[in-house]
Amino acid sequence: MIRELRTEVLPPEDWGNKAANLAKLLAAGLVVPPALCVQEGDLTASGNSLFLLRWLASVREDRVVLRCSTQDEDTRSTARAGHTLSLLNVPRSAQHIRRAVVTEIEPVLAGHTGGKSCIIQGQVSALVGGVAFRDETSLRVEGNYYSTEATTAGQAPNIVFTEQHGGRRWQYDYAPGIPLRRLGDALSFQTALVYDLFDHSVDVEWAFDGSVIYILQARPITATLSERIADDL
Amino acid sequence: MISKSDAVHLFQHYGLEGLPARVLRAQDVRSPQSLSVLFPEEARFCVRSSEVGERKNLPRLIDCTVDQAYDWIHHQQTNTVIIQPYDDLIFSVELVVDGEMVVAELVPGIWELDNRAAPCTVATTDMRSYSVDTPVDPQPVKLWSSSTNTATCQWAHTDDWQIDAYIEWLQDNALSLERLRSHTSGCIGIKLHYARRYGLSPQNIRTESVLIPDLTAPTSGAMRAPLLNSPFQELPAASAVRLDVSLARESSNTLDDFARALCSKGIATVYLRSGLLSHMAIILREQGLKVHRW
Repeated sequence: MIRELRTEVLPPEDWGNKAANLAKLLAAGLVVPPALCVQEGDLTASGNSLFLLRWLASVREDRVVLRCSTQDEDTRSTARAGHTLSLLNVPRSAQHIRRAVVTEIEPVLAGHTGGKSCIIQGQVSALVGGVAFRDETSLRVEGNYYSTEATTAGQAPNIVFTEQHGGRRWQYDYAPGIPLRRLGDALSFQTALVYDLFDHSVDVEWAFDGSVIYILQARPITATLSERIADDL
Repeated sequence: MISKSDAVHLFQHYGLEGLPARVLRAQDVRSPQSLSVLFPEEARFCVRSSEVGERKNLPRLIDCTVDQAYDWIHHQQTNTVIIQPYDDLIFSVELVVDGEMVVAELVPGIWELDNRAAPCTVATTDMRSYSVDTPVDPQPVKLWSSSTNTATCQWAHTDDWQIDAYIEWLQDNALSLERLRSHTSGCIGIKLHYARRYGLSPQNIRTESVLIPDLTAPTSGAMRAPLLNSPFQELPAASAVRLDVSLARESSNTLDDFARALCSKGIATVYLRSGLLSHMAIILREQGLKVHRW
């Protein structure tokens, strides 16, 4: 089955937790890049490639990201972050996408049980991108310039930002035109919404294009990460 | 101690001048025209007194005509004056340079003794990476209105462009600042204004009681200290207090008395919202109090 990410519920037992979480975020009014969710074998079935072409015509971004969504990751007890595949910078062509899904994504999905899907998502051109950890009283953000994946890939962040007790502290490599306060305001507001939505400490991957925060992924933080935030702050 | 007039000469010598300034002996100001020829394109001015061994809060006149400036100069008992074009003050900076470490506090609008705004703090040791602390909420700031010739209070943030403007000024003038600091042989404090037309403009230099403040984030302990909103409030029996006190520019004697009273009561630590580089923080540290932020 193919489903475009909208404000409807995507049950995790059909689509995996990543897709279900993105649909939840979108339904709550957060900005999520446009995405198509497909299940194993869907893109090779006749008729569905036309749907892909039509959907791609509505996507503004030049590149797409392909992500695995499974039911045994992104839960409160286990994040399994990085245990499934994400492919970035895939050209926005039906042929490239179909080949990448069939040859790389579906073999990974085959190794998982329960609900699962492939998310095909417009790749945001980011001024800053990174990860935010939000719990009840504090926020910690790490980000890198002009990248959505550098922080999660383990590169030293260009920006580290913490918020607590009514104050914000930034440590950053100066680059002109990075709107710190605007970024901080947007991240603080958006991650608070995600926290309320999940009713749990959350790990949020985000991209900022200078005006808008896009939520790329969100998952509950496992206990280990919450303790680390407390130590860092 | 560096007088305001000496500071003007030093800024000019090291290429740091923004808003232009002229230092005059009062006796040489023989007519309003002798002032207007200094800045022929300008219609409004600011005049400040300057003395050797400067007292605090010397008289000044803000946003005046050349005739008003002339009259004021000859009514003041001051030998030296500094005249500058009037320009809207967008934000203020208190800067401390100590070798490699440079710390600044930025506040929108005018920063005087009555400031209650928690500043945005910017610190660096290498001019490439910066630590910036900002309050989340807008702060109570004072802005001069040239239409009413008064200061008005508003709520504002330190904007991103202001932080960028300060950092770029710092990077562009790093060498000149270091030369100025070496000239004075120690840690220096500089007060700057960002003027609408002239950008960041140094105004004063301090060499006494200047140090890099403790920039560690406020602790939960700070929030438990008793809060004082007035220097006339009864002092609690505590080793630490939080201050949210505003004093008029002319009330620095009150501040001196207040600081001494805090020490006499056994208070050793003061938590301030309104800037660790502020005049208030300096006076408190001079009295031996530890000053932190909250």
